[in-house]
Amino acid sequence: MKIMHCPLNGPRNISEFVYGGEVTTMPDYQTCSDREWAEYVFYSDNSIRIVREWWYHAASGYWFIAERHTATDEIIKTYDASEIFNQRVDFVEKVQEEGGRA
Amino acid sequence: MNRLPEPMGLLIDRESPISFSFEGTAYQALKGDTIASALLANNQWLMSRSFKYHRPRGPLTMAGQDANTLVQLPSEPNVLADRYLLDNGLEVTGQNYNGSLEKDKDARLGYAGRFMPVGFYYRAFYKPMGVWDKWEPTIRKKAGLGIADLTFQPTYHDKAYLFHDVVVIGAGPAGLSAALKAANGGASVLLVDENPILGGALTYHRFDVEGKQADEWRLKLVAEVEAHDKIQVLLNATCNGWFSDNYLPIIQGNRMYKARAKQCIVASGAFEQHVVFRHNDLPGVVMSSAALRMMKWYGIKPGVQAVILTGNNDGYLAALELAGQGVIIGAVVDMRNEVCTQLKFALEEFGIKIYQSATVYEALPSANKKHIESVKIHAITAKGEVSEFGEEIPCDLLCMSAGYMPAYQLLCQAGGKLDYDDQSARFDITNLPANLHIAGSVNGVNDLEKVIKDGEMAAQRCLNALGLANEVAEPIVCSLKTNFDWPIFKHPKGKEFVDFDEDLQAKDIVNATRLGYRDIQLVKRFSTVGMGPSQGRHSALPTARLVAEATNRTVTETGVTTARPPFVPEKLAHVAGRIFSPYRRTPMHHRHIELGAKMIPAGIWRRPAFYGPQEQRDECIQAESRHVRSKVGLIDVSTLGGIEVRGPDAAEFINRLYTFAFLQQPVGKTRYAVMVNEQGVVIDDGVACRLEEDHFYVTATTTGVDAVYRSMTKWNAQWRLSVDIANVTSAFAAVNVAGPLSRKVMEKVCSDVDFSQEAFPYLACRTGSIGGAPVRLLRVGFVGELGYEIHIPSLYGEMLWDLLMEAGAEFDIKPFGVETQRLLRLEKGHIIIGQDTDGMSHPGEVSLEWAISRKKPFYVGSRSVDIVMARPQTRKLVGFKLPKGSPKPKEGHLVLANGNKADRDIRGNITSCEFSATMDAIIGMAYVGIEQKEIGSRFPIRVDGGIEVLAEVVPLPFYDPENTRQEMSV
Amino acid sequence: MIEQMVNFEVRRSLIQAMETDSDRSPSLINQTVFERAGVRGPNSLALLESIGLPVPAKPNTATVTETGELLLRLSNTECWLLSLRAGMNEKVNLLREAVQNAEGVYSLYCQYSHAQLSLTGELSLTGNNLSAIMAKVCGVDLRENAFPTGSIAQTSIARVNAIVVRHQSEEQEQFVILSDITTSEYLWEALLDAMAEFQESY
Repeated sequence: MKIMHCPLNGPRNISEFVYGGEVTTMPDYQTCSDREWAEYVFYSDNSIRIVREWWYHAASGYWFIAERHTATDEIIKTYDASEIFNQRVDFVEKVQEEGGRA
Repeated sequence: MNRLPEPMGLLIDRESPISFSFEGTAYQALKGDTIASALLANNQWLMSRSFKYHRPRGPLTMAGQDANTLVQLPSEPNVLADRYLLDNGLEVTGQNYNGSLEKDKDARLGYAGRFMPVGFYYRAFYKPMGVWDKWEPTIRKKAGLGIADLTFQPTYHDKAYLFHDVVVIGAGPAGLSAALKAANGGASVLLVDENPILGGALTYHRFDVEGKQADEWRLKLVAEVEAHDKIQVLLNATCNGWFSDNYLPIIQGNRMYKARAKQCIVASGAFEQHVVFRHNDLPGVVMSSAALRMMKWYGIKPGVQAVILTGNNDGYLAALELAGQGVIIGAVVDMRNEVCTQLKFALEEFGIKIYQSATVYEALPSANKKHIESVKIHAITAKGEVSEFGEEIPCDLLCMSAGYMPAYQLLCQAGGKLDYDDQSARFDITNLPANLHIAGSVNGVNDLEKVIKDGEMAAQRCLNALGLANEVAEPIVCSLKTNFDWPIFKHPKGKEFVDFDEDLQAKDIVNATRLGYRDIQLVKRFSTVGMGPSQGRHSALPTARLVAEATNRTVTETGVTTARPPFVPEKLAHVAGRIFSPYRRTPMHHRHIELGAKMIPAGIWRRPAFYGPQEQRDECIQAESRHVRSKVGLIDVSTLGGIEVRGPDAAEFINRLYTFAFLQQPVGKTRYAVMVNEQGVVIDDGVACRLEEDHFYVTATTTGVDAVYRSMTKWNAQWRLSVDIANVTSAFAAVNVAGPLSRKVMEKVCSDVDFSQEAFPYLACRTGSIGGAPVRLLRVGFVGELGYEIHIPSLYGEMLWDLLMEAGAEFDIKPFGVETQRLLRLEKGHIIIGQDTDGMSHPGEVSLEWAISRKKPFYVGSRSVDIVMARPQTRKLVGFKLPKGSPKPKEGHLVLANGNKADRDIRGNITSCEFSATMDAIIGMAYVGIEQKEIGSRFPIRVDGGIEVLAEVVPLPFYDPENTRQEMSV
Repeated sequence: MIEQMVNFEVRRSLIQAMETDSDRSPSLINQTVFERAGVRGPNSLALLESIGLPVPAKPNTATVTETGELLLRLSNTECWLLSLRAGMNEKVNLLREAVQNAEGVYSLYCQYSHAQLSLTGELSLTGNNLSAIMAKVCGVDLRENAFPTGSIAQTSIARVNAIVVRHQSEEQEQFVILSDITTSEYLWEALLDAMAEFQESY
């Protein structure tokens, strides 16, 4: 069984973790096209490269980020999510036309 | 008994005789004997019949590496006789014979061999269609090996982790020296060996002319290892696989250890290889190492007169060892043309004749065909070719030393690559992970002093990697050649076996390539080579050589088939033993049991389905349901998910996660909360209670709460809102008291809350205390009656239940189960997420438009919901009704299109369905085609047996559409 | 609200036993109804310090208060305070009071969400058996050299999530195990099964 290094709990069996998908950036949900939104929601790249992924340590309820190579499965590094997400995110309504969002 | 004097017989205890039986005959043996050594001590060489041709077979390796000694025990088939330690009184029989082991009527199958070429079954039973089904029972009967005991008693098997800096697999000279070096360097070491004593080849092999080195090294290394407090030793233990990051399953007795090694050294040794010649499978034809094991381990004299067939110096050393124990050496037949002069002189002192550039071309059986009687020696004229005439020498033992195949299985599982070197005629292993090392003969090092040095170097690399040392570890080079490059001599009459397990001859492998199966993996699947219990330990190398030659490729290009775990056969008991299957119980669990509840699994939880025996399911449910509608019932809803959201941004956070508007929700009110995912699919629902301005308590579905909590915390890892999110599912026990009399019960148990309709209306929430414990009270309507959900800290759950039962006694309060609750909510038309929704259900399909705020800027999935809701809908969840006597549809039954029966499309499916006594009809919910959704329309459902029933779409809810019952109290 | 101690006598844990056979070692003790409290939030560590509790220096370590409670630090912003004896409630109540009106500190529900079990062995008898027992149910190396006294592992035990703390008193070594209260009967049985081969009378 593979070992993953949790930034909070140290090296643990991979069975202690839950995969949370790739770290992606949400397009502007108010202005993007339907197609762009569908790309964001449904499609993933699935190419050979180092990807940034969300991982969750179930026993401590802790989300963090891992960088992993999709072909070798090597985990290059793991770190706290605050290294990427360090700003409060707010959603502000844009002026909209009648009939719903763009 | 046949026993040599000490120091032969390392493993036997001469003072402890035991008895056993084989094929009904009683025998004597000694403690420490395996079944095979005990039989040999009684001169019984025939131990099994071969798989296909039922040829007589005896020991080949004496180390459990072959399938020639599979025997039957009363409770266990396919036991390796040369591994299984004999217990006193054990009853052993042969297996895979028709008649008796000695007189097997199926032995005549051997004569039919030429009519059963390789791939016979595939080719003969392929056409016409169905012919295999006809023949299969007969063939299966012939093909089976032992007999499984179906009356077996389960035994306790379990698992345990082991943690070490360094795990060393194999306790031969390389493994011992590696373990010592690593432990002396400060590492904690686990040393694993499949044998009952430490030493590996040092316990049987002869390394020098004088025959002294092995014992000297063994006594020294073993004493140091045993005295070392940083070395844990596991004997009689097999490492059965290699998994990522040195996760090693090690089986010892009834336990499977799951060892985790920071560094791992595989010193697994090498398997001695046979020579391919006619009748090389006769009992009495053995590996040289097997003959040595018979003597050194068990004190068995393996024969009276031996011939040694060798392609390396080890055959000469074996001859010296045998001669030293009084075995007459008829000849040493060396396939090479050059020879070590020192060894030649040593043999000549015993007067042993040496043939060079010669081979045994054929072994001849005794009159009863059950043992070797003589060999025919021919000169080698070219690769695999021999002279026309040979010399016949009598012998009852033939020892083969054609070279070695590294025990590469664990290493290849770790990604190791095998490269064949034509010069050494041997496979080398490269491409190992950084934390996996090899040492000794598996690494191609065979000279004893170098083997020991190689173990130390592997340990040095481990110490460097562990940060315990920093010294250069030089690779050890050993030029001692052990492998003869072509020990394969095809005979016109065949029976020169490549694979003993599967009775495959040289021509079978070649023919497979001629039929077009050129890839080694295809050769394996077509011919079955390497598929038997020995898994190619002896067949892989000659097969690779034969296929390479037949297809004009190098042996490296040809390669060997993939090595997968397990390394040796693994009992299912080892895998199944002590598996953990957690279950959750609510704080009132013991009360439900006392009340006779029928408990059912609900996810990982155990919940009461109803109260009463299984046979009375329907009556119980209808009675409980009537009771709630007419009086008052209580149900344990502690499994309901609970999440606390607190902090200045609590309302903002809830507002982003759920579809409704929550910013303006007043304190003391609840609001229905629907969660969709980013794809706009409904994934959970619950009730959001605003307990304080900055404090929400949200319920979630039993099976969904963990995912909901994960999703919430993941979003806030990105949004960084000022909230605390806590999953408090287990912290609260909860009971729903429902029915027209529920208010009366509540007023009795809880004195600090005003339960009047004005003070505590529908959809309000309050805090108070019951029995001194703090409670949260929610006015909910899931089952469609006046009802209160009481949430209380878990440690008081049982107290709450008792107080409610006591207070409710005068109102005839009765508990109801989850199946009753499902019926009640169905009557009320409330959906259950996950039962009435699927992975495609968007809010419009389940009529939840009312629970979506179109005014707020954002919630998770809002854009997707906008997109799908703007599209034409294709299906809809509707309520339907069927007459009482109709066949009852089950969940999952299909809804079909109306119209012509011939080309009827699937339009949807049933999600909930039950008979309702209240409605006196079968009621349910189903997804139907959008054209079928109108009230009053009828749609066909295909129920069990292909019958179609026509259901009518009716408005939801079925029961109390005006919601008057919510306020109805008696 | 729910942090105040009420009706100690009517508290019930699912596990019906309080302790395994007390003249055998190791033993398993059910401490679920003992007092404990937890806090989380940006100001939680400062609050603990302000009431004189010895906050552990880093996450996943524990300290012992002068009165014998265990203080666990589970992350950069979360600590739990456990009493190890029935009726030991002074420090826990102090914390519950302090958190009432504190800014940036949230009280947790560990009193009710978790069961507290203690796998206890007599030092004179057990040697290293406690970690051998744990190795039958847990994939983390809990041997003393890898996991010294005061270490915490948030991990899986017999496939349920748990917090394991190594603690040592004068005569006893123990693993204090906190795990979801709803799976506590299951875990109790699993631990008894793992312990059986090691138990000896004294």
